[in-house]
Amino acid sequence: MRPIVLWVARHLGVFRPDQPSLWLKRLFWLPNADELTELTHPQVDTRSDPLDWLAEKLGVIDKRNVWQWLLYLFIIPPGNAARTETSVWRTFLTLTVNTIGLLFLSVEWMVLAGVRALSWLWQQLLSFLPAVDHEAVGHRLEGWLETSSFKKPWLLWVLVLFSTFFFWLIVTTPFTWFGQFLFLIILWGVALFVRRIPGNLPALILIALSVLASCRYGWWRLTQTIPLDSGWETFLAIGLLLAEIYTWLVLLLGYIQNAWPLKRQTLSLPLDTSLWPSVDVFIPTYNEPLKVLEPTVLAAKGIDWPSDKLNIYILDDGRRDEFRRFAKEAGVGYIIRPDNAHAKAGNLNHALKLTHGEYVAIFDCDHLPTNSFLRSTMGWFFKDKRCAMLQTPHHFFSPDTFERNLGTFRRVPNEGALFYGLIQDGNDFWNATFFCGSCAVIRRGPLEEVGGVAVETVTEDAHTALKLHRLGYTTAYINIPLAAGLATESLSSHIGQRIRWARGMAQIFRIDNPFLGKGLSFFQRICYSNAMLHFFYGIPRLIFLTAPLTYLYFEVHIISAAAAMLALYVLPHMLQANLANAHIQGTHRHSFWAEVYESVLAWYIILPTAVAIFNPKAGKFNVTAKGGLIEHSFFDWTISKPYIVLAALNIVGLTIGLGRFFFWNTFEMGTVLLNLAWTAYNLLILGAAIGVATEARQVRVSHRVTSNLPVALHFMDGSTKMCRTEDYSMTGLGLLLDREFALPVQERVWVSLWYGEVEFAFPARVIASHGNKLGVQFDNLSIEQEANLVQCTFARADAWRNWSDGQDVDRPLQSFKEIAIFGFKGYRSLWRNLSKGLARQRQSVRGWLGRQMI
Amino acid sequence: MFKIAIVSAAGGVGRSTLTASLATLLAQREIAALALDFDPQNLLSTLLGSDEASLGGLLPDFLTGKEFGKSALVNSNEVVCLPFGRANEASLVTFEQHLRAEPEWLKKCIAQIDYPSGAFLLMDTPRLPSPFVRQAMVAADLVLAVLAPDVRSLALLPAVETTLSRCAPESQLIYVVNGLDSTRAVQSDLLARFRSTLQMRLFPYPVHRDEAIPRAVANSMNLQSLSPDSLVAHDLNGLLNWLLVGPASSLDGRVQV
Ligand SMILES: Nc1ncnc2c1ncn2[C@@H]1O[C@H](COP(=O)(O)OP(=O)(O)OP(=O)(O)O)[C@@H](O)[C@H]1O
Ligand SMILES: [Mg+2]
Repeated sequence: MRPIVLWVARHLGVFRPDQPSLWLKRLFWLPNADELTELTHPQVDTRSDPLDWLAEKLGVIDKRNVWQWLLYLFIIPPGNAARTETSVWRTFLTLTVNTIGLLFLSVEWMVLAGVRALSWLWQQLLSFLPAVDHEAVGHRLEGWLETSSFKKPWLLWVLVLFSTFFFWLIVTTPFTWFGQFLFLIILWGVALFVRRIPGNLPALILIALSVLASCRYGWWRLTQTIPLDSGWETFLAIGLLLAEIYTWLVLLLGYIQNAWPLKRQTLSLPLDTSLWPSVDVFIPTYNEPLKVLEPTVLAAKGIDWPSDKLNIYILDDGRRDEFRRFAKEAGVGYIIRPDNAHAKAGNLNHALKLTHGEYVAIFDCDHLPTNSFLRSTMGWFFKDKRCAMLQTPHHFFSPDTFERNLGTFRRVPNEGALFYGLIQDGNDFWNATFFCGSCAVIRRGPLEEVGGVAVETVTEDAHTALKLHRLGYTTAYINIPLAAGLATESLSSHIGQRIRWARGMAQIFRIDNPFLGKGLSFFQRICYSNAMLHFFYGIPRLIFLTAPLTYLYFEVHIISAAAAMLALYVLPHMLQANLANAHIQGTHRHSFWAEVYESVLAWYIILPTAVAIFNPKAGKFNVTAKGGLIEHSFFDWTISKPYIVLAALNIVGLTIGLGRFFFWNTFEMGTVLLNLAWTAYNLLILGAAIGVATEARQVRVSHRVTSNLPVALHFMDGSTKMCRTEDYSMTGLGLLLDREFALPVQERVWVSLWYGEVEFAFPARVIASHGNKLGVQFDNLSIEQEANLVQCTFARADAWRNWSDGQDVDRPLQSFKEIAIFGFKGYRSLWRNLSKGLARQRQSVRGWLGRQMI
Repeated sequence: MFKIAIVSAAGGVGRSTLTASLATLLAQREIAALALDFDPQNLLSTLLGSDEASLGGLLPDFLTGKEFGKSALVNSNEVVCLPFGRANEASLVTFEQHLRAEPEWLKKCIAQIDYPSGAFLLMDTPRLPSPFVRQAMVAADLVLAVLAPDVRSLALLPAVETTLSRCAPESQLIYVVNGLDSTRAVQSDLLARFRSTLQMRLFPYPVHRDEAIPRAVANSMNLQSLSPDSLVAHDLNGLLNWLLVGPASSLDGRVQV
């Protein structure tokens, strides 16, 4: 062997056979003279054990240690190994090693080139996208569909028939694992491309792909994976199946509901203000403090509308003298009634009888309307004479429980964002906008026609809208925040509020089911049903949170399929649904957040919805507390009990699962792995839910709104300073000056703010001064000054316009990572509070013991 | 050249102050500004930083038959000021007679000055009624009528318009409120009255009362560098911006100093 190599080397002119680059070089170039002289002494030696040499070369010290070999072979670069004398073997080995390296490099290069070419193509494709005016294409498409050539019924039927046929074909054809894998890849690839196209059309394509994948999964699940032989397994399997069917149904209904969000804009009003109708503004209140109501009334007073056509009424179910006095002082109406029958609905109905405006605008007592509220909304009533109700979003300028306790305020869309950002716009397209109880205008005529606000259920608002729709009236939604308020303060009140919604929706579902009865279009029925069905997620969510445990604990196979096959079927379903939803809802709900929001509530809404279904009259109305404050951060043990139990169950499951993976069930590792992954995911979501139960401290009574408004400071010596607000509230301002400026605390100043061109100055005191930051607190404002303050701040027409501009974009992986971190934090906080609680317990026991001793 | 006459019916409302401040701000933006004192009080040069009231000026020049504008001064801010010059009773009487006889005297004199076309001419005047104001109004492209947020200005509100419609009906008239103390409710109410009476003819943003103004004069420093973030600096800059994009926007090629 050796002589041959040397011979070849010599003839090629490779004077150093251990240098592979030289071999390569000599294969293509001839050596020059002085290189040839060295050729006579090729420095090659012999060595017996190639393994020894390799070990030495790599730096492996203990040759029998496998780990060291692995370590040095794959992890520590060979450059570190000591060089020793050469040998033929070494030559040979290095040669092969290097050739392999070369080969590897070239393959890598080719792959990279391929990837680069592909990504270049991808970029080309993508760069082509923005050149198209997608809005225009969308409009043209809409126009086409309206033309008579498309309106032929036979054409429609042919299309429907065709698509149903192909749909059926794709959904029911069985594939091998490879076929299913290709199906996954192709669908995914198409979706990844399509979602880059802006506009609404791609949303439809993504929806179609997702429906395809989900239906295919559903079909397979239904026909191939139900264990029918054993009773117990079958029972659990059907439970999971039902939960899946529920989510599948809600997914599909949701797609229909949100297929084409209407995105209504404001309409201008006639120039002649004498044509404008009269409007009564109702502000119902029951037990909220005056401090909460006051700004709302003052903001309502500032609504830009002919003053002889705007009447404001406080509807006080608490019948408080303080409120009566305030109403008088503020110059607004004050209405009370002898009883509190039917709560808010009854309150509104009572006021309806005593007032006469053509329209009624309703604001919960903590929703401050902006001054452009009526000007921006009333236009639609002029255009659409059948329009009975117009809703605007409920916007919150304080963080809700999730946002406060997880620290995601204004970064991640909150729970309400999906409903007001997308679902209502989607409903609007089908003429199924719901009334949401506040921040809405209703035409008095139709409202009286349906007998006023509905009193049969606890969600009087949605039910009233349903009744209006049944009479053939239209409703509208404008997705521009024209009023804003405080979000629920604590987790318990948040849950209380959602329980009420869930109960109310279940009640409507039971007593006035949208699928039954007259007057609704098919799509209105779908929108209403989805809204109601949505609140039945309690049990399905719990099933998903515990399903993998049945296997991990009892080895029950509730899905009878090979793990790999299950993964191949379920992945396209989940991926496509995720992609479609990220595309449709991305700006209103980040990926995976629905799981967190739902998991927090799941346990609590099961009972209310179930009771409401069986006995719609049972239970009692609860009012959500607002304007409260949490003085110390604390962990809400009571509320979080169900999640802690679930988390504990899952942790035990995970531990058992690890045992199964390594020791007991090594014959079905795939199944174990799948269930483990599912459990881990559930644990993260539950951790985030537990994190929400850690109530962060909240000290300010009046919430501060971040804002950048010009402010003038007037000092007592007659000098002034321009600066800008950092935040404002009803009680003070945070100011940002151009440069450092120290002021003594308690110094009196005046601050002026502008409302359009008009300036208002307010007396104030300095409460903090740091560098270029200044905190001032208003000093005994008169009611008129407070009204002006509201106009300059909360009630500005553009106050909430660009609220979510700074929000993060939805990136599923990022979102997942974030939730995973929240999950970890949740457990950490649980652990800390647990040990704190234990320490306290021990202390109290010791104290008790001590007392016993004395 | 864009010519502005700064006038008022009531005295002490801040005409001279506005004239001087606007001229200084213009110069600071490298726009040529000429402040013309057409008030026998002869105070503008003092406001623009000269130590004592100037002896020479347009009246002595007129009496001695010198060319108009020969005795202009330039201050450290590059503002050119043509003072009125010292006057005595007799010379004033002669001058006023001359002005009455020749209503376009000032206009003609200004037309003779060789000044860049993108420049600004700001004319300070005594309070109405006076032949000096009428001359300035005739010469001006824009009449800036200064109001104080007090009852005097409210009562005298029609005076400027009456005079203007008699002597220079084509000139544009804009009212501006100076010396507003927004912490005083009375003044805000008066401002609202002005707003509702004058509507579009009132410049929407008033110039506030601010200690920075007398302080700047006392230290003979310019407002912008003494208290750049004061409210009044903000107001004056706003007024100037509005002038530049509005009435004065038709000026061809604003020429640098
Ligand atoms: N915005 C302001 N803030 C504070 N002080 C001001 C302001 N404007 C004018 N003043 C003060 O008011 C006084 C009168 O101003 P000024 O001399 O400019 O008024 P005027 O109209 O020219 O008076 P006159 O009628 O005497 O010519 C001066 O002391 C000046 O410093
Ligand atoms: Mg003066």
